[in-house]
Amino acid sequence: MIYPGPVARLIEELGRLPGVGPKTAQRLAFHILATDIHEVQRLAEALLAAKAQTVNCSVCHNITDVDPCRLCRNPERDRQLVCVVESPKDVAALERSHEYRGLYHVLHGAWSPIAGVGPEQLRIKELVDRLKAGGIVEVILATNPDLEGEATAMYLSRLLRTLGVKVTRIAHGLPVGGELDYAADDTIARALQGRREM
Amino acid sequence: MHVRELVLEDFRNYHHLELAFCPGLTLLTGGNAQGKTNILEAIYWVATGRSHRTLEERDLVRSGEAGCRVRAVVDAGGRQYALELSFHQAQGRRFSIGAKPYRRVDGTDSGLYAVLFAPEDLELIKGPPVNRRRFLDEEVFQGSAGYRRALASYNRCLAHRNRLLKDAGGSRLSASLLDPWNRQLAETGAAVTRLRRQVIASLAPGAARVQERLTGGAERLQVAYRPSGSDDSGEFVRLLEAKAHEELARGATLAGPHRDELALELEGKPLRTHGSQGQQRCAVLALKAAVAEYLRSNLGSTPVLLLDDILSELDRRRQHELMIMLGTGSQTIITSVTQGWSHQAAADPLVYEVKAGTARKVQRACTG
Ligand SMILES: [Zn+2]
Repeated sequence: MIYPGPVARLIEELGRLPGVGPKTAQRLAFHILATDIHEVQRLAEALLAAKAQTVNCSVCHNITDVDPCRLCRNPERDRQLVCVVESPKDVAALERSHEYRGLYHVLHGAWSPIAGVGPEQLRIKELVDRLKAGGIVEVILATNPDLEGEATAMYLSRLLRTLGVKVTRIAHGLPVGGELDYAADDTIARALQGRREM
Repeated sequence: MHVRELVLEDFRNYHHLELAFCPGLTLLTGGNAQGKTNILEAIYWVATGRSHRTLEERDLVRSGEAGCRVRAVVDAGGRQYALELSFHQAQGRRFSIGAKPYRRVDGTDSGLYAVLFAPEDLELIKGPPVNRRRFLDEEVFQGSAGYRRALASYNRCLAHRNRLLKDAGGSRLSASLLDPWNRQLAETGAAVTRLRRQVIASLAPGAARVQERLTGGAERLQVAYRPSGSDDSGEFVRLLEAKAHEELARGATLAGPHRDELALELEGKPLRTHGSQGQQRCAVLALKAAVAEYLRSNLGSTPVLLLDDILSELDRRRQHELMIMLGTGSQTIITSVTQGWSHQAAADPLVYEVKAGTARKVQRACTG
């Protein structure tokens, strides 16, 4: 079916989003067309604002609207502890659990040769620089318990040990292949408490 | 578990066919190319999602049509429900169990398992090792969700590691890059190796016993596992390290379950090179009968046995022996050009005569 230019363009743009196929894109587009103009305006503004008003924190690389981020600025956080995660979603999951009081480092991905992502594409150099600057005593590796997350953790443990910090891995209380993001809060708490030196 | 009703729509040479089956033995007779095998193929397809004759599902569609559909009403201890598998050239494949859609056709969901005996099985012996690994993965391990997870994890790890080796372009990979994948390949690979070793150990005596009976004690069939990796992840890592140089040169992983061999030997000699056609056929039957036995004792459900034109290759005594060994515990559906085979093992089969896309009941009303 052929739609007028602006509608076709909306469908095409929506269809670029992850997990959105052509049918879903079409449904979303018609939902937007049927929605009140003020609501559509709010959505459009939210999209732009989220993109324009956020950056990656220059310290931990988590997504933030102020740089350094609120977590990195918070004087009550334990600055000797850094938890390494794959994505900002993992930071949110750990924060929800209220179990962790240290700082974070977001890698923005995991080592995946088949996806063409190597360690050099992750924020590892930045992590090494943070550790070299001193003050950090323990690094907790909280990458996902799947093949890619484990490979990333093994790579990091070997690299970071040479810098004289304690390197630990969260316990495997998480379901196999399960992501931190989906884990229940008490599972996260147990995974943190049960962490072991690598 | 047995199939009570089967409906084919635009499947192979059938426009529309409805058949009723009994829990026991059903015989499909008729001339060549009348569509007997297509019926077995349809049952195997709805049970496993595979065909033994084609990898292209569009081959299953009646010529001139856009899609085909197979519906099987199964009976699991008195509980009846319908499995429906369809293929359409535009919509692809759809599968449902009791009208609920499923992404994968799998006996662990549907409860329907099948063991197919077909002339094509000879490739299991004559073909390359990958045929025998596929036999293990798809036929012997049908119904083992744990094995499927272990194998999927291994295969994903293997793909990662192969990509890493290939991308290195022949130059050295530092230990920091290779070790994480060596360790994980070894762990996932050792798990697959252990499961394969167990299953082959329980398959081998059964296969030897059938071969012995079919040959009147003359032949001893040995089914042995030759793993390329190891059950022990530490040992597995050492195997990988020993091959590191060659692996880099070839850009591929050279040890692990993807290179395993299931060795089939008669009196210590490989069947593939030393067996006669008759010995090979016999060994395939023995292996398949052992699989049926293995599934019967390891699944919560008896598999349906589908025998495609294999009895004609056996003399009357062997036909009789085979039917006894397959037993009466499973629903068995047999195709045969003639009815002139031993009925001794099952006195009262349900018989259909298949002719040019129709099937006519010629013997016994189904009382099951
Ligand atoms: Zn920060």
